[in-house]
Amino acid sequence: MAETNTILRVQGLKKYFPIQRGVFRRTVGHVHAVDDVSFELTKGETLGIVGESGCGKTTLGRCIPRLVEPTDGEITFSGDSVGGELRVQSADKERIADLRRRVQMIFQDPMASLDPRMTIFEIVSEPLRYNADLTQTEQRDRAASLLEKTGIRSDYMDRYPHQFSGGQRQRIGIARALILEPEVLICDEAVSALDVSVQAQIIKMFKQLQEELSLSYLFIAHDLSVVEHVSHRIMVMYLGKIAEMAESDALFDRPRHPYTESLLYSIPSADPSLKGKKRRVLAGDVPNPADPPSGCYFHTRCPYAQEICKTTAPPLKEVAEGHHSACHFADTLPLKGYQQIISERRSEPAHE
Amino acid sequence: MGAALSSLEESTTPPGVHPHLEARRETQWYLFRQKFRTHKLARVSLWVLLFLVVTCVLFPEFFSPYSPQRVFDNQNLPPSRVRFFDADGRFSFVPFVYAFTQELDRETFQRITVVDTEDKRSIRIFVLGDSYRMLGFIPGRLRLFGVEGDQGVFLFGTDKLGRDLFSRTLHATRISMTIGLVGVLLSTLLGLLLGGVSGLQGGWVDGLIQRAIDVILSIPTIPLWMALAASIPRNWSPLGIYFMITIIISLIGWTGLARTVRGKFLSLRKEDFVLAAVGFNAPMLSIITRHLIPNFLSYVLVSLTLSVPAMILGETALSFLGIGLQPPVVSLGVLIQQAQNIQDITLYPWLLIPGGFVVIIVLLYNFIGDGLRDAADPYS
Repeated sequence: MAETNTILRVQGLKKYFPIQRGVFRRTVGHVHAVDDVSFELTKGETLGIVGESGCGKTTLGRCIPRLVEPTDGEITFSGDSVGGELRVQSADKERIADLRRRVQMIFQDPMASLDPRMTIFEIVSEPLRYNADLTQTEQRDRAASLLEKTGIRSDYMDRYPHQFSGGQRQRIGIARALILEPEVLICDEAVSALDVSVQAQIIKMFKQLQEELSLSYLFIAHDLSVVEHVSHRIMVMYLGKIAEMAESDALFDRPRHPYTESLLYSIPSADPSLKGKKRRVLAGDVPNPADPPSGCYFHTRCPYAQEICKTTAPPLKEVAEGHHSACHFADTLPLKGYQQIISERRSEPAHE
Repeated sequence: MGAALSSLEESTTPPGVHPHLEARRETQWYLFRQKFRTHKLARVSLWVLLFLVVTCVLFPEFFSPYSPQRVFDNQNLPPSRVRFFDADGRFSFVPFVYAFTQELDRETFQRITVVDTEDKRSIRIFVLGDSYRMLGFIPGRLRLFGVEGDQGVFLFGTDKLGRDLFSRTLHATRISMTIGLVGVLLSTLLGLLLGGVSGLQGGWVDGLIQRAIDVILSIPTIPLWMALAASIPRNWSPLGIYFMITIIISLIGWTGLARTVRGKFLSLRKEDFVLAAVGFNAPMLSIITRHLIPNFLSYVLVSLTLSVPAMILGETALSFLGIGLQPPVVSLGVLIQQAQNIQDITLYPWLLIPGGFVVIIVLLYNFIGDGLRDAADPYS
């Protein structure tokens, strides 16, 4: 991927939430929701971001259009329309407004993200009110064409969100996100709340839209199986830090971080021959992000943990072409890819 | 509930299948009304309240037979018996009352009423009576009903000055009901403003307002009211006192609403649709007016309805203690004040009828508030 195609570059992004106690709101500590995350997104690319609940994926997504104010770091945005670069860290109001026009979000819960008191037309056209100078008819035409594009009949425009199914509502949310013709879409668990069949439809639509409009996606999800189908690259997060980042295929074939391996183990399979065979499940919970473990954050749950993992935090380093991992033993550990895991489970005797 | 559910189901059917459903836009307001309708008690209460508003708040001059200040010769007269059958058992289509005389019982020194069964006085509708100015500016003399002759018809009896208690009760209900409404409007304004600022601004402003509410809530209400009411100059006009009392009562009433509004703001601010609006550069003011306020208006409405009775009771309590409204203004509290000692209650129990009005009005508001809450709450 050529450097010139980079549309979004995030460097050293940090978001610490203060923990306040007592009458005087004394700050007694910080939750490191996003801790030193750097990545790049190229035009037309989809970067999947995966991790357990509470690992900072959502905060990361919200920091980019500054719905959450980052503590530190630099977000550089370069789009075609302006050509120049837009550094979010030092951006003034107008630049943030410009950035928000070009980065739009799609939310997890399609009920909560649509105002229940507004009609679909009002919801979808609302971004135009503040960002474009259009007449009512023009707004209606724009909204209608986007609704049709996302698979909602435009004569439903005067209905209310509660009259639609979950999948339809998510399509409406997508239509709203697209109406300002953004360059980057941040999909925060955009399909997690939907039925599997509807998930597939929406994901297919995401792909079509990407081809048509050369959109870039940050696709946030909590399990790898969803991300696999859409992402060119995948970033695995653990406790606010990047554990591993690689091309999709590389990550599935040869993971370089034990956490990724355990995520691969947890992918549910529809193969009936695997029925009743045990799956390796990661023990324990995510540690408290306000009080993270010493050394490598993952050592408390890592099956391969050694003495060094408890004391020294492993840096994120490139272990292969475009493949980054934050593990001391990224080169030496015999971690299994997805196919290996499946065949291993197949060869095991039935568990029951 | 059932009707609301079924209408939700209908709405998900594709158009074209039921063209008659297509025409009906199922707005939130529509669903709200549907749910409210299923709450029988609230629906009936609403109609009764509307009836009271028409008869007592809007046109008490027309519906009451006499002016509330008109003094008759007959003091402490029990309610007149309106009859359809005369002493001989003959039926008459036109209701009538008998003429009466008051005599003193030489043994008990009680006044007793003696009716003259020979002298029938028919009750007429649409008669000309005491002149009045309806709503303060329409002059008139037309009254809904009245009785022939020089003696009056007293549905609720008369008080110790010989004034018609029925007419006084209708006029008093007007004062008591409006004081509740005006008070609630004032406290709503305060509650919305302070609660909104508290929820939106946060930080030390929030802390200050919340602690102020704590302090206000910790003061016992009646002594505070008494202190404030006692500070109203006695030489003020009745209207001036009326407004001061309203303000005093609403100064306490806003706290609950402010808390509700603050909580709503705090929870709505975190909703995804608000976040989405921030994400496409909606200005703060638009977010408040387009997203936040419409989404908690129904809660405000409910809390309004539920706080009207508190206002009415507050005014009644103050007037009963003699520090609220002063004669010649009549409120229900002023009327019940006459029934303050045990002797009056035993001898003239009809003086307690205005108290029944207080109970009814408070219950009506509570039932309506109950229905509104059920209708506004989508999870019940």
